[in-house]
Amino acid sequence: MEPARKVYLQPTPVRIWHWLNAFGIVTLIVTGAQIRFPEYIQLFSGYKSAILLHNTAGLVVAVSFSLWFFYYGVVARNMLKIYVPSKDDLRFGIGRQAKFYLLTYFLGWPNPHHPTPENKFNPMQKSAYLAIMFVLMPLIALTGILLTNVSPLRELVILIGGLKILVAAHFLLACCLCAFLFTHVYLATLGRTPLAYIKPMWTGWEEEEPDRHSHPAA
Amino acid sequence: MTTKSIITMLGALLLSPTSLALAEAGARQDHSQLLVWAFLGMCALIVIIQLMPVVMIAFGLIRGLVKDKAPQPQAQAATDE
Repeated sequence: MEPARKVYLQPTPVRIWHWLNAFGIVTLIVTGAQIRFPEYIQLFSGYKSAILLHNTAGLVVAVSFSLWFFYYGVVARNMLKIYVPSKDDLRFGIGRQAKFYLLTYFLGWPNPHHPTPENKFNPMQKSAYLAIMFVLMPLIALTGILLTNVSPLRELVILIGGLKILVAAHFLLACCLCAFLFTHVYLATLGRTPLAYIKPMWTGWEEEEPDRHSHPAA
Repeated sequence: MTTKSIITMLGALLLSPTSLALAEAGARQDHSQLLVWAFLGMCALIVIIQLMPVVMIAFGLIRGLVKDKAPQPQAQAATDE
């Protein structure tokens, strides 16, 4: 039996960004929950410590986001190719991928998307990551920056609609991010083995799946 | 005597929670700093672990280059003979 071919999908800067982001976002969700509902959630010793950790995690996520932006925008220069779905992706790809996640995965069919360094995300991933990285993350970071600097940015806060609107927006955006996180972790376990998609994010190397054309049912 | 002891006991009872609260507040302050440092430490660990293969490859390349350069004078001497 031939050993599975491996493809280098995740370069070091992307892996560093991903795991800093993951650890930071989980910390933000946990501390944010305590800040939002202090009477019900008391995971950390005090309200003040939750705020301090939340602000630090926010800063780390913002720095790692900048690393991601710099790498794809300046070093690799393939940000648009990787993150923006093509016409074909929108017309056929999303439906094909949704069919795989909802039905054919459970019938044992292989994934219709074969990742390459230049096309590493399937059409559904592209659409989701586009919304998250270019809309959700900048908005949540912006509302977070405003909330941590209310006094110096008072006029901007009032222009947006006041502190209540800002807090509500930050909370709703965080809920969206939290929902994505659960979906992301679940979908990451749908490889040939539960760790097949998680391991490459740590090592950079992904084993190529068997060609779908060789599958009788495909 | 009994009145004095009752007053002392009451005083101790009233003051003991205050001292506990003060101690707790102090501990909380220290704890928050510790949490932040633990978080930053984990972040640093992620970066170091991810950079380790790169450092090892770079180290291997440098060692290879040094090894390649080192035997050259001997090879030259052998051809001269």
